[in-house]
Amino acid sequence: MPAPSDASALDRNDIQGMAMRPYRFPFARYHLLDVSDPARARQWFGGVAGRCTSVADLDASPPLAFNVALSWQGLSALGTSQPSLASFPQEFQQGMAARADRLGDVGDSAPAQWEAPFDRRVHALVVVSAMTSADRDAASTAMLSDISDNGLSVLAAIDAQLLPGPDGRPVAIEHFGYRDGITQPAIEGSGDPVLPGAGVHDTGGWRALKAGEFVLGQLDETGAVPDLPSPASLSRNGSYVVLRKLHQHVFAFRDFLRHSASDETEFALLAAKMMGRWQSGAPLALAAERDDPDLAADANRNNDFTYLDDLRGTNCPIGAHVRRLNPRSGLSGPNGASVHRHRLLRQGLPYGSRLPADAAADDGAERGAIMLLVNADIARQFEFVQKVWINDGDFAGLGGDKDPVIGGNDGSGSFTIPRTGAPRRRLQSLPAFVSTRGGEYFFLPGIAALRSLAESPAEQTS
Amino acid sequence: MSVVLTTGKISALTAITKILPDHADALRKTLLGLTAANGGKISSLGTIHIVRWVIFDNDTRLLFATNFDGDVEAYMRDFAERAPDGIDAIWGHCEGYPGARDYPKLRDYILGSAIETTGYYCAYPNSTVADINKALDWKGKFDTFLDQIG
Repeated sequence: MPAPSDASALDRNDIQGMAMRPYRFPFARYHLLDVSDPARARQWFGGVAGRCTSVADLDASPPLAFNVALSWQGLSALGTSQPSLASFPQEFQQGMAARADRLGDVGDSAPAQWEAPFDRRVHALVVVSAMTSADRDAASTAMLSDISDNGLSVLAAIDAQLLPGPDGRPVAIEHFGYRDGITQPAIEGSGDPVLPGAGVHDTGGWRALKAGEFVLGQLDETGAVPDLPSPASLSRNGSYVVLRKLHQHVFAFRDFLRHSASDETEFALLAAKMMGRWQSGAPLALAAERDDPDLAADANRNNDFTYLDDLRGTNCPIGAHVRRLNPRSGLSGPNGASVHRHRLLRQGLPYGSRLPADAAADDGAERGAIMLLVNADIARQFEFVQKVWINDGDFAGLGGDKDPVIGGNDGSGSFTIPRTGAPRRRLQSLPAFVSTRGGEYFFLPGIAALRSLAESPAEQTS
Repeated sequence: MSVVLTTGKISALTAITKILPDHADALRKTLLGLTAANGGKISSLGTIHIVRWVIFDNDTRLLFATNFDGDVEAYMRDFAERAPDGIDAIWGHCEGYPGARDYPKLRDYILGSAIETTGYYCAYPNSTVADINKALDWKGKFDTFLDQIG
């Protein structure tokens, strides 16, 4: 039986920081672990709980953050009781690979093609985030030096970091060349300010989303607290982290645009139409004609729009990447009613080196993004976004069109650009510009819950 | 899920539930109200082609048969999110109904009472409700345009 669900006061000291606040650390190392000795591994998790970075810890802008999450297989390997394991949502139990068909992870992105360690079901994710690479390396070494003595093994450690800007300093720009991370959901009680555009647009302006959209045991946007997996001592203040390793076909992206555009200006415009933002991050919703770096740099303006004045998509196409992932008030049909039930907090960083701007061919190098998508309900939030908003178009009257940038296109995709004073333009024969290299669903426990793992399984489930 | 049969973009789902004793009249009234005025709340869901409820077996059982766009889970979840009161007002008259606000239980209840579809034909398997409404809207606008220039 699920535990009774009454909302408890938000405990910022018990919730891991990653669940509620977008990380600004330029460097991270993602460790994927396997449990070999459940008793000793439980002791280790219980012991590191006190070092996990909480929501409150982030108030002081620490130079380092440390977070720990477990897959369902991991919970199982630790000896969690059957009733407890069975009380977790079905999609979490099954894991990401088993959900491939609905996620559009087929063909080149199918689990059969996934890289190690994602060719098996990993047990745990340990994330070390840092302001410098030296700090990341030192903290990772210190944290994991004794891991094999504690019933755990490191299957893989993936380094990711912001790409260098023109002056060599790290900048928040992803591999296709676009400013990343502007839109994040504002969450009640996180401690972060509600920037215009970050939450839900109500009559009174922008408000933060209810914490229950990201944290278990809290009120969500329906005004209720969904049932918790049992025991509540394990699940309360937890969250789910969806890890995706996404390879980006940067050369193919540029090549497609070069073939679709007659000059540099049109190249930039078509790319911006596909993204929904210009390279600087300026949104088409506010800068439809040309890039506006000043607007992009102003956090109070660069996200302050609803699409309500652009329902046809003549400024920002309805199928543009950023509009799909956050449709705001821009869906005219019935699908507009529940958009804020499908929001995701995005963590994660790029991996691999930048493809030079003058590259004449694909260099075959691995590059992309490690995405950590945080939500309280994987099926309702992440899987819905992936299936309905990214890999379909029917929700917005776009037929079978997929996201032009990260959708699972197969060379026959199309993308419609509505225009004023001219018929719409349609780009055709879109290939995939992103391939899934692996991933898994993780549970990000509250810190007290993590600490309680050091108790025996019997006590844990009583 | 074998209880959901899909052709193109359209799927069929049929479920049979037991009506609570003496609840059939109230259920009948609910269903007549819900489907009056061109099914206001149902049409606002935007993904349902046809839905039919039949009270049968001497007022003891309810048949629910629907044709809808997209994935059954996304569809039911949407349904539960947007119209929980409507769902409660119908299946609240049936045995074992868990309520619409706990989605996993609702899913298990509906899919658990679903029966396999044996034969299924659709004249427009690749046209969704949104596609059809859009095409009709364009045709209307085109006719108006022809009227204006004619």
